[in-house]
Amino acid sequence: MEKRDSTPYLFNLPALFLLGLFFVGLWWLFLISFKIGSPSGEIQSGFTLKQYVRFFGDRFYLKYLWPSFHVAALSTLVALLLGYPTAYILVRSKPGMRRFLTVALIIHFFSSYVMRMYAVMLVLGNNGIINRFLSWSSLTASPIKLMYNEFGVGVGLTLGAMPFMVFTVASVLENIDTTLESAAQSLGATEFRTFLEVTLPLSLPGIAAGIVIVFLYNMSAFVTPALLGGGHFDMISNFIYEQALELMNFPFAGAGAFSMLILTLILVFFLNQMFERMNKGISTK
Amino acid sequence: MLVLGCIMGMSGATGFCQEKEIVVMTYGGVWGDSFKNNIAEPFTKKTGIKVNIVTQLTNRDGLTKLMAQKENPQIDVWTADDATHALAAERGLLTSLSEKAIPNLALSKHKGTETSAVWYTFIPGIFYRSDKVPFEPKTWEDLWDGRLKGKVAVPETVYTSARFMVVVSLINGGSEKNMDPCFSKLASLKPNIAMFYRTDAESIKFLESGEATVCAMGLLPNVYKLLEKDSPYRFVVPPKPQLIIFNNMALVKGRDPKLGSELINYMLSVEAQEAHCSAIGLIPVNKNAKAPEKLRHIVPQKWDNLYLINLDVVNQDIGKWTERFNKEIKGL
Repeated sequence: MEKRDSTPYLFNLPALFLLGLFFVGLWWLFLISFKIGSPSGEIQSGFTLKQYVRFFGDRFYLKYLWPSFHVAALSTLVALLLGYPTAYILVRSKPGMRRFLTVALIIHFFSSYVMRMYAVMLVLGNNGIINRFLSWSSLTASPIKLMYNEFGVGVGLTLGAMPFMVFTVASVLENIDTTLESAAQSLGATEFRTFLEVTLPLSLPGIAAGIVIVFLYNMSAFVTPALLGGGHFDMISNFIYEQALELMNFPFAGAGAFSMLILTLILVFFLNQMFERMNKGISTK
Repeated sequence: MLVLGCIMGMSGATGFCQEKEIVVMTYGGVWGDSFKNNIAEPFTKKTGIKVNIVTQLTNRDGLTKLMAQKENPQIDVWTADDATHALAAERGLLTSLSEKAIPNLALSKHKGTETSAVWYTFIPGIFYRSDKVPFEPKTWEDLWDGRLKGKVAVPETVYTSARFMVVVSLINGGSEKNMDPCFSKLASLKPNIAMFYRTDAESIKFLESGEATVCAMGLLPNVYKLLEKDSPYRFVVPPKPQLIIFNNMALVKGRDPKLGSELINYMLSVEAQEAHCSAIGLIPVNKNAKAPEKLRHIVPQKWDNLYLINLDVVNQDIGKWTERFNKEIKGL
């Protein structure tokens, strides 16, 4: 019998260790979400559903969830609408343009996230580029509020997540056999029809992956609402941070975190189901 | 053998080639810069003990870090406000300070507690930009002036352990024990609120960017360097109620207190107190240390309306206040 080489498994050990750490933390959070905390941060023993009853029983806390889903979904959609054409140009353009776009995206991707959000503030602020232009052109008498609301947070999330969408979609677009497009066009299809009936359906796996990645990334955003929400628009992560690190109410923070995790997983499950069905539909055509 | 000794030193055991080191958790920004330049470096120069600085975002951020390391503490000396130190002491995270090991404690104007010594004091007040505000705010009530519509940045509950909320309660006939007047008064401030902040950096950032022109309660050190003659930044200490904040030092339980005590003793020395306080506008606690000259024009000469907040009540109820603040004032 052939002896199995254990080297690949050994290479996986660091990843397994990290995964283990992650799940231990998650498990601890799950356990304490069934406990009661004290103002000094102490966690009392026992089992209670009080934190979940409080979270789901008070409409106020649900108000953290809905705007988080709303802004995460909207910013994912906008990232897709902007990211898909960018990915398309990236893949189909000449080498010079391709290099330029790749470098621009890599710079964007590797620059500090906080600095990127400060850059957004310089654009959207009362003294930002947009408001200065509006004031200079006499289009508005006073600055428009573009920040410290859902719009500002949405813009920040969209920009922050753009590279994830672009790279994910581009990786699929790159693998599409261009002879299929040529065949469609040789049979009389216009470029637009070729895109709609050949390229777009074939790139659906990239779109699906991009949507799931960007949605999850945006759903758990903390820095963007902290900087661009100005306290007027907090997301669920800000609530969890406040409860855990400022009020030291770890059980309630745990309940909030787990509620978000479960609801997000359910949503992602349905998204995956939907995309799978769409993929099957395309492959059976 | 030498290598083995060094490895032992790195892992925390006392090795013969180990440099004496101490870990301090304190604030960042201007506070951290001054700590590094005026305390850590001169202390190292004087004693040969290297000071490693761990930055905390807020007092409670520091407390959370200590709670997480309770079984294996990594911090020797922790600086935070008196309210947060009280919470840490309640959780058994701090160790007693000895006057024998810290002789400068005897020279302090404010004694602190068994586990927490006062390092310096400072005053909260209103920051504003004179070039953007049409009048000179002088009292806390001026924050409600109609001319400040959409111009006031307001602290979140946890900023300075809810001191702004207690002030609002006091000016409306309440106190930390009766916060209903605070919430009714804050509700009427809503038209003037531009945004909320939770850190020192944010309190000044909003003024600098022009998103707000008044910071409802800020800490003098955050704008101290900006208070020059030609500067548009102003800091005013409203006369009633007057508050004073104590910033304290503590030794973390489970660590060798010897080096920590040595550092605390240095932090209380005339030399360190004068250097740190004059750099960022603090009031020294060492009886022999002189307060910075510039402070004389800012700090009130009379303290007739000084109010000392019951921090036990704050620590007990801050969670409930935050929930009410988020619901009724932020309206999330």
